[in-house]
Amino acid sequence: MSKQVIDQYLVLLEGSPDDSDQLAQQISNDIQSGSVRLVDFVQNLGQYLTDEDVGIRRKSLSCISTVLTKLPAAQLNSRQITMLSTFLNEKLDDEECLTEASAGLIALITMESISASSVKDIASAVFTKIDMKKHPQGVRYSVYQIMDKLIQKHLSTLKSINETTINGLLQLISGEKDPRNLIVVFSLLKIIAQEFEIHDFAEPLFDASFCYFPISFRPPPDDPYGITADDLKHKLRDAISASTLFAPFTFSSLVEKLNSSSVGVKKDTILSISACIESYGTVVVGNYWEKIFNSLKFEVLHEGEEDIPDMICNLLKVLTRVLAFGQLRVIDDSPLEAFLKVVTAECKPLMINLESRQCKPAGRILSSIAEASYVSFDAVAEDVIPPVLKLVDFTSSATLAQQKIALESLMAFVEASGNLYGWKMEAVRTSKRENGLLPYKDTLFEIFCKGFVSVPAEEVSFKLLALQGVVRMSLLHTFLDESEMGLVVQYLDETVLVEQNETLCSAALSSLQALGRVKADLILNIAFPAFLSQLPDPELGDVTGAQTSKKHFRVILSALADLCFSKGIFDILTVRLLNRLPSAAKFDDKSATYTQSILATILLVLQRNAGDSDWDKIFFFESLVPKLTSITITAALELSSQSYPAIYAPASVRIVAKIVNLLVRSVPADSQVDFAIQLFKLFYLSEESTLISELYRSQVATVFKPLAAASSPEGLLELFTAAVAGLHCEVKLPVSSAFQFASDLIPVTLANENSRDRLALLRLITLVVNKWFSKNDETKYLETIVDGLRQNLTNSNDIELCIGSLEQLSWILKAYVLKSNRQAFESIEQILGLLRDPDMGAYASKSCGIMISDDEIVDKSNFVVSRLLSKQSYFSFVIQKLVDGFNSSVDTVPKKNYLVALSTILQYMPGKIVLPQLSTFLPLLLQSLSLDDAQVKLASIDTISATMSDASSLMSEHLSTVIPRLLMATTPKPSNPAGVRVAALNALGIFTKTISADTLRPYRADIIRKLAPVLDDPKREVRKAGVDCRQAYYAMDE
Amino acid sequence: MSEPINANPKILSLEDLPTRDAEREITSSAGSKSSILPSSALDSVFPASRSSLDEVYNTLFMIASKKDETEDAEMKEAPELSSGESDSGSSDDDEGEDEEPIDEQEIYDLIATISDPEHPLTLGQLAVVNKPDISITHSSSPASRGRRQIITRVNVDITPTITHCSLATLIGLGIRVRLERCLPPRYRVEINVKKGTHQSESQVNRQLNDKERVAAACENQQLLGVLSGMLATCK
Repeated sequence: MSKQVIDQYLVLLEGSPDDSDQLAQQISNDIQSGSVRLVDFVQNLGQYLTDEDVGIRRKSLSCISTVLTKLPAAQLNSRQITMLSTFLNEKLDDEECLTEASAGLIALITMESISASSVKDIASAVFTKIDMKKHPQGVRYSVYQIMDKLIQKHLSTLKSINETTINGLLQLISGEKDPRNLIVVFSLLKIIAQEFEIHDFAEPLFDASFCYFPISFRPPPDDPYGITADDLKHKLRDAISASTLFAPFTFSSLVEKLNSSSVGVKKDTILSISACIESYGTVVVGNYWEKIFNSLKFEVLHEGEEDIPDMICNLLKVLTRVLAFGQLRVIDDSPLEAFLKVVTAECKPLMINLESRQCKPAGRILSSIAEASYVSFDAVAEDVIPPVLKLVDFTSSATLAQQKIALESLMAFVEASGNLYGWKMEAVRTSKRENGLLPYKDTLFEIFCKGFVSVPAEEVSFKLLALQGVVRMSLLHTFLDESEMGLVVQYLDETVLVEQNETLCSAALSSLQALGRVKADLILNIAFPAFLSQLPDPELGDVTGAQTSKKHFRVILSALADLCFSKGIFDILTVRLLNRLPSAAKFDDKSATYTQSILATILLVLQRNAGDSDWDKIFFFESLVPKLTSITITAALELSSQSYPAIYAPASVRIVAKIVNLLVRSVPADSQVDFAIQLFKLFYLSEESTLISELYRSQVATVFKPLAAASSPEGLLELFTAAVAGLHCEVKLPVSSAFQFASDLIPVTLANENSRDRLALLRLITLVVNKWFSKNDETKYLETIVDGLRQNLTNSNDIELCIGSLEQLSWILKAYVLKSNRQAFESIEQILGLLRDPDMGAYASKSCGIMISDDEIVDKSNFVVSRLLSKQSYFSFVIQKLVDGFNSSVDTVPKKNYLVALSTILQYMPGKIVLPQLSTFLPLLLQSLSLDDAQVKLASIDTISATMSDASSLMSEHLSTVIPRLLMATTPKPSNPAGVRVAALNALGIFTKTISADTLRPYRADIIRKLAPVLDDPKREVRKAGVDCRQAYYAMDE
Repeated sequence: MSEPINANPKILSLEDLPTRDAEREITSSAGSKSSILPSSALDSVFPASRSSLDEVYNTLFMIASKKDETEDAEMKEAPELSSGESDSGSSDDDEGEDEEPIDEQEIYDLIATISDPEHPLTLGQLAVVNKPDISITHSSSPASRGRRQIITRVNVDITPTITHCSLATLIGLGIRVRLERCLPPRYRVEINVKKGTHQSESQVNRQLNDKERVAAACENQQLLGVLSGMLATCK
């Protein structure tokens, strides 16, 4: 060990801390291996340690400390430690080097062989030598670290110098203000309070922490330590509640703080009192409850700010629980007895005086106290429930509004009993106690039932309360019996089926769900029959539900859908609904409203639970898909006696297609393999398929040829496409090759004249190209099929062939656009070129939208391959061409085509893609506002609204153009349908939020004036938008 | 803030306030097939009132229409605005049909959401404004003059929370400003304190319906600030 090494360390410490650290490690290694003796090391440092230059002293001390820190805890013997600690203790005098000395001491304190006397020496050195007020927070922090380590490692030694430690620490911490240091200080104080003999020091110790109450700390914006006000509050609360000896000071001091005008302080105080009650325990709290209760009740009875009454009720609950701890009944002369006596004496008269404003709050206090424990519940309930029950016999003179308050108080007790004794929906309940409200059950139930049934219909909130009452009672663990719950369900059924008020209806419906979750039988045996019997039964000549008392079947069906909260219930519902389908269809009107509503009910439930893994999708896939397919196709072929047109009406087929799609795509690939084979047998090969019920299987195979030219029945291909869409890409299509299949479909599509079938075929081709084509297939398809279609466009004079080819092209290219295959862009460019064509331009502008539109079938949810940037690359490819095309064309027709194409594309573009290009096409967008075309206008306004918040500065430059045009769009005329007017008004309204008031102010008066006619608009929704928009401008300057 | 004049007013539950929804018909009216279908959760998956599916499909997703109308329909059938996803037909198709005149409920909705100057509650909740106390009368002028010229009177009676409420004038002024901003100029608004609900009824009434005084009040910046706060909660 040479001085060189030390010199080197001192130099390095300045420039590269990492290297110096390594060097220290090396020295420590040498000491461990014995190649360097500790004594030599210290001696070599010697002269530096006493150098006149502070910097050198500090560095040399740091050298010792760092080396010590790196030594193993067992390295030094007791003698060495004593030697070093004595040395470092003396160094505590050296104010400039305090941090370094502290680090060394901390290292020593963790050494295994440190003697008790060394510990004591260190402690007293810290207490006597350091004057904290002279040091910045960082240095103080290191001193607290010594204390923290001492207490952690040598608690018993410190306890042997009880008085020294307490006094020393109190002196050390006095005046501390730094939040990081306070966190340590509070935990030190907590340990002292818990572990030390503090009887003689209770007050000063309490004051030491309580002087920081309330914490009003707000962390600086870039606080390096990340300490929050809540951290401090919690630590302080722990310190205050640490010892029961603090109790005489705690409660009186805290209660005083309740007078604070700050809500935050009040909340902090309440939580602190609560923490103390819990920590101090029954015996101590027994002496203070009166003071606590008396100072808190006011805030509840007079309805204090925000949630303070709630917090106090919680506190009272804690208080009661602590007082009642371990008691099986209220013991005479116990604090609990006295407490309950005082509270009921004060609150009961208020609670049963329905005219008093404090009636409800008093009920709240009493129910909170009841909720705390079984003993308190029994005592309070026995005292107050019977008199309150007497108040609401509905013959008393109290008015309805007052009765409602009584019911509310009772409700609070029902809730409290549930929280205490358990609810039905809780999985396991250890409490075997019977609900404390049981003695009053019959009257209670009767009152709420009566309140619900006999009160006039317009008293909505009263009825709602009564309804909630019976429902909550039904949900109480072991309370109402089966027949009473049945009665409740009947009331609820009645409400859903007859009640006109929507709030009540939806409350009843969600209550039925809640009851069904705890007892599904109630729904199956009572609600279902009641609901189903309300559906019109055409066999009885009751087609539209002609009785006026009945609600429309769509309302009832959607209620039934709401009740399907489990797979089992839904299974039963589908069976019952499908049984009704033929009779519904038989008498259904031309629009098949009833039939499609029944089917839509099934779809609705499936959609709602699509993401729920508890629902066994394979089960419904295997049962519903063949059943619905078979019903639809046999009906369309008019094979059975129940082949009513409503079953294969376009709307019905569409819903079935949606159901099939949803179910197919929700099952895994291996469940789809056989299904795919059967599907293609049915639609493509015309062979016998298991998707058709056995009875008609062979018949269907012979007559059903949907892909053949001029096949009938029409309109069923939608089913095929929907099913294929749901297949996973890894399920191989049961055809010779996807390429061939997609090629063969082209002539079929071009020849098909039924628009629904053609759309299904177009989508089918898009799906096949997108999902099942290899890279090679894609290229080959472009070179053959796509090329053929493009040639039709350039060479043919047959306008119909041109249009058909363009339509086909658009859908095929869509598949490529989604995959971001740039080979297709050449064809897209050809379509863009057509925008100039007087005959084809209008169609081409539509085509631009189809290629990028969001489609429900060609969608990611159907496993369509969609690259992340596909929309972006399409947009950046076309936008400049559209702008250039617009600018270079002279005639109005092509100009309009460009604008229509632009707005069509824009409606499918997310704002973040549009935004960077906005400045390029904003002039076009503004032009399209003056077109006569409503759709184009709407798309443009929507784009303006959607991009407003991000492009406000760009828009600010164009205000003089935008505002007059938007104002023009608010006048009612055929080209401004209500939708456009509302959109324009909303867009104007957004301006006030996104554009600076100074920029907008010149337009304000004009806008307000010109919006006046809007207030007389024939449509209510427009007037509403106008009112809101105008108010936004009025409010600008106020 | 000074002690409120009426610290503990009666408050109506939100459910008890009149709404337009409550008036909506949800029973199927006596068998008439053309009756409008009630709104139902089923609409979210498939609205039944969709007029013609094929039409929407054609305009949305298809270019060719093989039948005949290609010639005349050319430009008019620009793409529908709704995307296939949402399936929510636009309400545009009913354009030009039924007019929805301004009714009492609409007036109520305009003013019931104004905040009380001293409670964090609305005038509707405090029952200062009640729907039965709103009336609309159309003056019977010659039909030839057209709807836009007909003068319409709106009468609103307000019920102060207590009979000595000194804020009744302020509340009335708030209602007046709101209605003048929200109703077409051909509407004449008259606001009165409901009979027997205020000590100095006639005085307040005179103040509320005196054009000069209302105009003067609206010049007062401080007053305007209070009004603006009251109107800020309007929905």
